[in-house]
Amino acid sequence: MKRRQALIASGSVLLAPGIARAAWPDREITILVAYGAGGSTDVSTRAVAAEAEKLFGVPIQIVNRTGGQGTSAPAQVATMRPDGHVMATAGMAALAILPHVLDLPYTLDSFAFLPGYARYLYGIAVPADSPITTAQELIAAGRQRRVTFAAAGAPQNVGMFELNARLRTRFAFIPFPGGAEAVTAAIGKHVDFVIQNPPEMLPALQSGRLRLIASASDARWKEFPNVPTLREQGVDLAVDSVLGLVMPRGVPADRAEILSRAFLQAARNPAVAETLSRFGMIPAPVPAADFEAMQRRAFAEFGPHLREAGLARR
Amino acid sequence: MMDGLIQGFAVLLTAQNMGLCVLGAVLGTLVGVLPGLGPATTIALLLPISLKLDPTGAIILLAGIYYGVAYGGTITSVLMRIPGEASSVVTCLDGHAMARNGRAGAALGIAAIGSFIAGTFGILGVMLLSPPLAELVIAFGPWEYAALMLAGLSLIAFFAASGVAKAALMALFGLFLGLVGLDPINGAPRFTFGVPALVDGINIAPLALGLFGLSELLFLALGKEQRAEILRPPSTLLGFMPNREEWRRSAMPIARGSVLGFLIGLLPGGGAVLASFLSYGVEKRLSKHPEQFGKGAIEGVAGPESANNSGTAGAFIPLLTLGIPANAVTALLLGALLVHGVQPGPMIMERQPELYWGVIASMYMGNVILLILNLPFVGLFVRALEVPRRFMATAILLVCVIGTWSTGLNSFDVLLAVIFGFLGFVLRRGGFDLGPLVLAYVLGPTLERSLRQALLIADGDLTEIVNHPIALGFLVVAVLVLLSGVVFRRRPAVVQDSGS
Repeated sequence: MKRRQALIASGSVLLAPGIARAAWPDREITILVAYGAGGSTDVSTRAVAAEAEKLFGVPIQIVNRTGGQGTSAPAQVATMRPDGHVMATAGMAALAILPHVLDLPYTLDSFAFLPGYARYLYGIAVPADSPITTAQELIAAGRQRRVTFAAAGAPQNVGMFELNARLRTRFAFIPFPGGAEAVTAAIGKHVDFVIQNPPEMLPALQSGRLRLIASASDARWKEFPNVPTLREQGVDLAVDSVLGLVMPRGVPADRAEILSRAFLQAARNPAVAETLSRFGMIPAPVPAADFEAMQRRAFAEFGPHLREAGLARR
Repeated sequence: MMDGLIQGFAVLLTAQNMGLCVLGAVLGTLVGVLPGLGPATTIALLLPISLKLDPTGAIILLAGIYYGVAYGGTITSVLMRIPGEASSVVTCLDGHAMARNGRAGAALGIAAIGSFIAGTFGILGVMLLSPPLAELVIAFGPWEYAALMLAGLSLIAFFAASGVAKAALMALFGLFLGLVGLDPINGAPRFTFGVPALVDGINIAPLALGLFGLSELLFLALGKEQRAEILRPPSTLLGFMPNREEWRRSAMPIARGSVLGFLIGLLPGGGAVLASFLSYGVEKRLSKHPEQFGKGAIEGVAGPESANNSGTAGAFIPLLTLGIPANAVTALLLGALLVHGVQPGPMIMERQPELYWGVIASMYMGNVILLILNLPFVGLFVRALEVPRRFMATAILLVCVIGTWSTGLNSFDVLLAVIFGFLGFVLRRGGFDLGPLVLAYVLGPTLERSLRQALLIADGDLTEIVNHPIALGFLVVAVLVLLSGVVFRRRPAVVQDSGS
């Protein structure tokens, strides 16, 4: 579960005057990024931070606090002083899935939520000579026999578990430490298919070693506009993961409001959208309240699937 | 091919790109010298700055740091028995022993020259063999990795200086240390005792710096002050160089290390650490004087130091031709390419020839720069040995603590290093080799994950391995290695990683 969640800004920014240089924030803001430098989570967050910096008039410092499958950054932030000067990146994996799996020092109630800004795209690909060409054929194969898939972890594996529960397929999750390893395993036909993000899959897709059979998100990939989504192919599933920011619970409401507005405005900047598209993400400026609701809904929904798959902790 | 290379040098020979190439080599050497501060950390720090450059310049700079590190890592290993990088852990054994014998200059010299030869060989390999080798990378699945790791582990039979039983015990302990952290398949925390810093496992920095560096400190502290330990380095440049005999003994290890390191470096998860250990094991096995290993055998420096350099070049093949990063550092390079809108893949040679060939050319040039940079300083570094040992002890302590701290900015890691320091001291006192421990610690997690992935894919059917000839081949190698190391051992070839 590296790099999942992304964001972006769609249209032009109408809030030109934005937030005036207020008395607060009066010193630098620190964002703990849960994954390493150069990955999509890191790059998308830096892009948003660069825009937000202009609105705040104070520097935003990015610290890569990796580890714990992306939970170390939010875990650290949960224990820090709620003054609005420190926040962490968090997405579906850290907020809605891993709390079921790991013994974490936080719950969803440990945080005050800021906006979401980026959405990860997912796709399902098979080796080029696989007989499977559509999502329906994949489902049919999964009902007939055990079909293995490679993935780096949550949330895309949970999507497949959901199908197993609903459609009686037998998709077997083979975990890999990163998306690149998962894709390599599919190229070498060590597994039947792979479900990952565009940056890791595009080289293999473009060279014809892998074939994209469906976008596993609600949007088609811009590089493969002719490949429909799972829903368009009649499979009612979309792996959705939005990346956003969380702060320790207890940040004063006026400060939270200033931060929320600024980050939402930053996320709508076209420059951010441009950066995101290079990392296979789409803009998702989601207001703070919606971001929180999204994570809480997902948390409730994923519990049963994870228990079914034997991944939830006892 | 030649046209491409000429084009590459044309790209390289601009003031900006040459400057970046030199800067990368210098930074890489520095990072290699400083324990703890690794290439991944440095490249992560420089990534935002590299965004201001064009993609070719950025990759030239970052790649320079990456392969430059493999040069610099040797220096503290030889002089202070502190591994500058994980890939130089094995160099501590014979490199430092050579320094004790007054051959520190020869150890550093042969490491630099071996690195140069291996690095250049690796780039040639990248240039000539990328497409077929990319196929090899793909052929490696979970079964193959599991078998390769087993073959790697079988090398402990050669490390078994102190007897097979002790070496096996150390290997088991190393495997156990590798278990700490999240279960690779279901994510359950194991042996973490509620310590957040252990969730991602025991970091190699506290382990290596503690076992090798801090334990050395204890030996120094408990040993009697011996002024004779201050070594008189020769005063001429040639005096620092390996002598004829040492050259002769190093030639084949460098050649074998270059090939071995290159092949291991290709494989995602293989990496320079495994390459250097494999090379050490192979050289010890092939040597006519295995009893000298651990006591200052130059083969034990020349082979591994070559292997870790050609391994860095090998990792560029899956990166550039498949878009697959083989390790954490090349993953950062991949990020740097993507940030600049460059999509690596088989088409990169046609679509971005100036980038591809520019980077290749910069790697040739970078290796030359590194050789020029490293050789003259050998004399300077060796002078550090003239420092009285009680001052040296302070330096070792400082370097180990800062090195451990800087990897994770985590005080728990420092504590862990101290624990490993005492452990290393006790184990060395008891005549246990640390080699098998570190080897098993490095290979264990990949072995476990690959084997469990393989069994998941096969739905628990272990016999499925018969359909994987490469994996079977490695298993045969593992068995042969074990037999030749354990059963048919003629002499009780005692190798010792003798402490103080």
